[in-house]
Amino acid sequence: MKIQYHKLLLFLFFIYNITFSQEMNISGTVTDDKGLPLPGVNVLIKNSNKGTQTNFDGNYSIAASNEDVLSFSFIGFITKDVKVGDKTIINVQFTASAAELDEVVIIGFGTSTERKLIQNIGTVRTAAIENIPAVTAQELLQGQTSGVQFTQSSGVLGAANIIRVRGVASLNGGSQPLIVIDGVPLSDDVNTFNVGGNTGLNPISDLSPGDIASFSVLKDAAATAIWGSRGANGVVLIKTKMGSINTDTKINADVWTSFTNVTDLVDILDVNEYAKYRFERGLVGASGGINAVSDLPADGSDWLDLATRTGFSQNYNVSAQGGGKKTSFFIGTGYSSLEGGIVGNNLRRISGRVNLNHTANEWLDLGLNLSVTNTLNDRVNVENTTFAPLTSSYLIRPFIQSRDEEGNFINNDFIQNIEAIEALQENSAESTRIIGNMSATIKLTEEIDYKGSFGIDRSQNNNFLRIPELIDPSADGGITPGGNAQNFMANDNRIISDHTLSYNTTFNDIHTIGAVAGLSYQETTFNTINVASEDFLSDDLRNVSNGAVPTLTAQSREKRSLYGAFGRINYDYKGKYIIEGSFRRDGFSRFGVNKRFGNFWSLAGGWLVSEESFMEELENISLLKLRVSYGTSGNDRIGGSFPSQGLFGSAVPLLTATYNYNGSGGIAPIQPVNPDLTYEESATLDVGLELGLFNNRFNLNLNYFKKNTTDLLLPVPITEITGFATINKNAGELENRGVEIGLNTKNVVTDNFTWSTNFNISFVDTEVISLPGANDSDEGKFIEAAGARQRAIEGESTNNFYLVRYVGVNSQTGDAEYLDKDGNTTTSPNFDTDRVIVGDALPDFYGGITNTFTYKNFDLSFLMSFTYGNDIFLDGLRFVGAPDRVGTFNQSSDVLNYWQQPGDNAKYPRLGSDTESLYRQASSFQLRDGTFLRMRNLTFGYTLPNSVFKNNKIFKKLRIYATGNNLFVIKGGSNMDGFDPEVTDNINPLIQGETFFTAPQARQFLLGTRITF
Amino acid sequence: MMKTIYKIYKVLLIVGAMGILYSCDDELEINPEDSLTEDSAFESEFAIRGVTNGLYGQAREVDALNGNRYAISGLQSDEMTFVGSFTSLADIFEYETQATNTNTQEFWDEGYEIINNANFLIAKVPDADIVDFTEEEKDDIIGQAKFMRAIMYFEMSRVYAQPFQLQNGNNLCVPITIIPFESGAPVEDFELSRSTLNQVHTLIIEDLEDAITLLQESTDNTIASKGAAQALLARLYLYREEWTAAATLANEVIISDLYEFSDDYSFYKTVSDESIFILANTATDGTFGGTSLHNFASPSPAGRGDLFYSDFLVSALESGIPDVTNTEGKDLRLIDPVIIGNDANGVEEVFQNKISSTGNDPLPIIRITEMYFIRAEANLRGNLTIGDTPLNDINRIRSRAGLIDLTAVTLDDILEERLKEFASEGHRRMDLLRNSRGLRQAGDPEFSSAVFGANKTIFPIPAGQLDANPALNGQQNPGY
Repeated sequence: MKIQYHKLLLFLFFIYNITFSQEMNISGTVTDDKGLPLPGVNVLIKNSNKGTQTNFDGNYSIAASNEDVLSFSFIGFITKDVKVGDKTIINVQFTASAAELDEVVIIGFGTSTERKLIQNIGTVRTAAIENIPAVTAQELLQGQTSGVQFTQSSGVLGAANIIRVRGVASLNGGSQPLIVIDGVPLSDDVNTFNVGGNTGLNPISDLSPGDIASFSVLKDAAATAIWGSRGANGVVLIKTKMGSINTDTKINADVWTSFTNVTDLVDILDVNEYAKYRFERGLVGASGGINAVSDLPADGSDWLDLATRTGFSQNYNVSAQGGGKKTSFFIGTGYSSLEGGIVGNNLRRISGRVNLNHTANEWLDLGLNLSVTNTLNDRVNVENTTFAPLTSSYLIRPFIQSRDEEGNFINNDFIQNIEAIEALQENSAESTRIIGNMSATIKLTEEIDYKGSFGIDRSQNNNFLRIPELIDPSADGGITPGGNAQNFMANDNRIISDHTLSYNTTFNDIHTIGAVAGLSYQETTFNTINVASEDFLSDDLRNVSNGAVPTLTAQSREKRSLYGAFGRINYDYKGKYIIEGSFRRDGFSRFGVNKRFGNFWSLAGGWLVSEESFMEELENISLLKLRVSYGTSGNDRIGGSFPSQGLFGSAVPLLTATYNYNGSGGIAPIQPVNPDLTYEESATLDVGLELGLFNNRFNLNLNYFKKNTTDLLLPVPITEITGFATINKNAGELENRGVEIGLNTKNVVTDNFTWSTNFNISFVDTEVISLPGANDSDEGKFIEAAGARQRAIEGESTNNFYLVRYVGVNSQTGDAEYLDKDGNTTTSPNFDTDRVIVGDALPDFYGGITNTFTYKNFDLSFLMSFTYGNDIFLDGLRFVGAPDRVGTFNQSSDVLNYWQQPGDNAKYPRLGSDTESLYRQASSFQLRDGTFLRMRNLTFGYTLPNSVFKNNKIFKKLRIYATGNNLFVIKGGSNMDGFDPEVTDNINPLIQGETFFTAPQARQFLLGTRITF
Repeated sequence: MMKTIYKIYKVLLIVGAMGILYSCDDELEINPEDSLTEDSAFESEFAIRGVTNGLYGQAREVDALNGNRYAISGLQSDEMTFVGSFTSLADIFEYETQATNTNTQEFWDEGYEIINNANFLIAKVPDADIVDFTEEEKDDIIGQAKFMRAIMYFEMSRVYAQPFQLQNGNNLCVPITIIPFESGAPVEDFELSRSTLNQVHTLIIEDLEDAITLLQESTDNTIASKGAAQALLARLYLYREEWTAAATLANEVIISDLYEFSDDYSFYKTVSDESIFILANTATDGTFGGTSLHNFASPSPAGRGDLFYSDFLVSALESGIPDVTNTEGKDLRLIDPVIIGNDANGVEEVFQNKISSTGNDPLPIIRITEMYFIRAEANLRGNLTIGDTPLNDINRIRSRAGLIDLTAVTLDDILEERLKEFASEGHRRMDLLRNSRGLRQAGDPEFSSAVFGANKTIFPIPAGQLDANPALNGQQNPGY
């Protein structure tokens, strides 16, 4: 039936070509509030894409029928609609408006304006991001809008970022927002190797930042309910750039080059300090001690130096945009070649995009958005693995050499030679991704439009790992060769088909109704092939088929399909009172048969107080809006494709083993059935106030929200008599409450000098309400992820650090002291039972501030982002800050600060103290305050004056700029030397702010030129 | 004209839209392609055979019938010594086992996982309507499932219940479930309280008697067979001191001639006719190290060198008097089945060599030698003469070890011989308990904690299981 329906659509395209009304030429002049002609005013025939612009004298001319309504719009003035009727000359005088109020806001399946919007949406427009040279699209969101916490997980190129919209809304499900590019909801299946840590790759690293026109972050239920079962974590709508009709073609070329440095490295012992320290330990008979400094080689390799570098990167973006009478377009291409600060970490991206809009006739508009991106990521291992360059360079003992006397690599320590790895090993991830959307909009009546669209998100990922003989030597000492290779290919293929009918009308000049209803179908097929082999005769034989022993041949496919029916209706009375309701019904193959469908809804109301007559006298108040919304949305990321089905399988859960037996296939129950398993549901109350003063030079956006999430996916323990330890159920409940404040001010506006500030701050409080069936503890029921140092606890936050409290080194005894559960000082804590809540990985508040200055042709802007009150856990300190491990691992220079005599306030205990070994255990010793203020971006630009180009036929504009990214970080915590406070080594919502040795954010100095032709 | 066209479009649109609505239900019915659903697993003969195979696959998994089986027996009894740092094992060795112990809970977890799978087969196979799937083939599969269910209940009864001898089997054992946890089955139906040891034994006897009827004689000792069911039942009757039944069944297995009392100890690490039931454990299937216990029980540096023969066991082996043909001059069980090497502290000790440190060897569960032991002990204690005399049976075993014949045999002789023969094969603990003996020798550490009937001679019901199942309220074993 579906296929036939597409045929029907084609049929619709072709049969209808009747011209049906009388057109005539309309002309006129548009003037501003002072009566001066306005050039560049958009003149559009409403509900069509037909339009033009006024010329330098403010004149326009357009063909329109007497039924048409002409819409005149210009930034800074109130849009005017005029019905043509029998007039042939229509002159318009604008009244000034608070400019931003009439800017278009992209909402789910439609648009609105800032003035009339009663959904809570944070919009980031081109103006805010165009001067930020970014490597990935997500970076552009940093610090820009309230309610969005953005954590860059590491300084490794391509690493995933953590985006949280309004706190953590899921514990075991996915908690990233849904990302939709030009109507295509992106797939975010994990399609790469895990290289240590669990951060994966960035799902939208395939999007060229230069293509982005705007972000809309959908926050409240009024905005997200229409995304139904996928809306609970928030939705980020990304719109890419587009030309306007009847405009000259504008060609932009943007070129930048940059240098990248690694910041924040831990100060570790060099080869001399290391030997000396071990000798000092030897003097008192402490473990790891040596009898003479000369017992250790005097030479070594500077591993940290071998692992880091100054990266050199280049980026080119060229785009053209414009439009003729019927067609507008944007064509963009980009090339980035990036080197990270960690040796061996490179990323090359080539992208192309075509956006087209064609008005075929009065009733048919055709649209196309298509992007193709090829990304080649040369990856490095990270975090807790001896193959990770940064981790290994900290931990490897400094006397270990990288090369022998002839200069050949050697690998003779249990920590791998990371210089050799980066020189000899291949670890790459190549992806080719096509994201596209074709649409046809048919005007059925003056009020009703039909839009059909067909989108794809297809990515092909090719991960390849080749470990050389040196790193994976022969197991039997040389008879059979070593080395191994693995190739993991993942094809993620998603198709989306959307059909909407929209209705917009105004009657009696006071009632405006807008409605949209639609159907959506989405199908995702995820196909993977994973092969590996070992024992290669030579490192020159690259591919898997050359390995003598195949170790893995796996192929797998999963399919999911989602179907939704949705609608929204919006009524506004005199532009003062606005109500809106939306609804969606989603069916998803992933959900259990009994709960396969879910209904989501929202209601919102708004009052534009400033439109009331009694407000007219208060001229300084340009906008006062109150709005409130309540509604629901869901989170469909409850694991895999078939989490609800009772399954018999061959693969043993959690182990790399099978139930096969004696060479024959064997299967056994691996998952219990739960036909009731379904989405997690969030119900959100949102109350907002928007205030614009002094012609909107001062703009305040204040929100309170309470988001209650129920049906949290939990592995609920059941009696093992069933054959299963747990069953996944929708059982838990949590709540996020908070206040979000956005403040935009134009502090100074003069002819030569402007200064504007954009500030946002969000206070979010997350509380676990209930975790039925979870294990109990003194603090309450809790769940924790395997290996995590934090717990979600009933009545507390979702991310409480749960550790033994470290006191310090006793200045009299020289022993390290801890607190037991009751708060008594002890030198022999129980690292299991003495744990208490000592911190929270979630911040009290976070936000960003941007200041932009222009003086004549100079511009300067800087963006800072900040986080306050969260804790981070530095797991790597258990190795590099554990003195008695010095025989095995190198140590941070801090260990030299040890206790020597009574009265010393030392960092570490007396050499040989029994308590030295306690530093191997996780305690609050490794916990730090993660508060920071980061100078994320500082850009200084100079635009050549227009006079230069007056007689130049080719160049229209030239801007040169210098940018510093991540110039400095002010850290709130003490003892943070060498550690970046903005870290997390896991995207799991239950493991936040933990790091082994996360690569710190890179510092980048960048020079660029943008030329417009 | 316009209006008419619009109307037609609208109708068409609505029809088209309904088409999507109509088709969507089917589109949402997607089946996995890498596993079978509960229904499809019993719709083809091959799939059913796969489920049956899976029983054995599960059994060799950590840690149903793998390393744990002999480790906890050896750790608690006088058979082995532990010097490692793993708390869960050290606790068992030191009689400090906690209800949260991860090793002892494996029998419960893995046991019920296998029982659930067996219950699926027992419930579903009789009704399977599949062309060419004969009643005989069904019988064979149900017989295997019953055997595997019986062996897992038997294993659990050894771990979680006091022996029959303490209270004539009226003490608590484990909950019994004989239905699968399938679609629609409420969890509450599985929140069962503990049955008595006699009840569990009754189920085992029924299952094994069914298995003896349903299964054919077979020389494939890697799967359940009639002989394996008889042998296991013989063991159960021995534990219940039903001497005639035990001796008769053991004798039937011996005289069936399907198994061969091996001439030497080369049968370890192989699938040989010495075995009645042995779990194949090949690299092709993906090796299970059995919670790495084989690695723990192998000398350093290949293994961890944590778990080795106790002084008591070694001196028992060393005290054997070699016979004239014995060129080694000592008990041959101190040659092939062991390896001398360093423990975790660098001290030379005697380690088992019956399974290598990788765990990549077959796992002996029942072998024919045990039948001779059972026949001997049952005949001796029941004052019977089924098959052969106890003296002959024991001397046969001693002779293979290169020891001189005994002239008379006592229960102590049989138990000592079993200790030496089955070292690190998981028998010693129950051999002592079912004879109402303590687990440690006088002078050993924890001697008083190990006396017969003492709380910690058996293991705790896993702590999490008490939380998850209200019916177990107040049913924890005393002392935990």
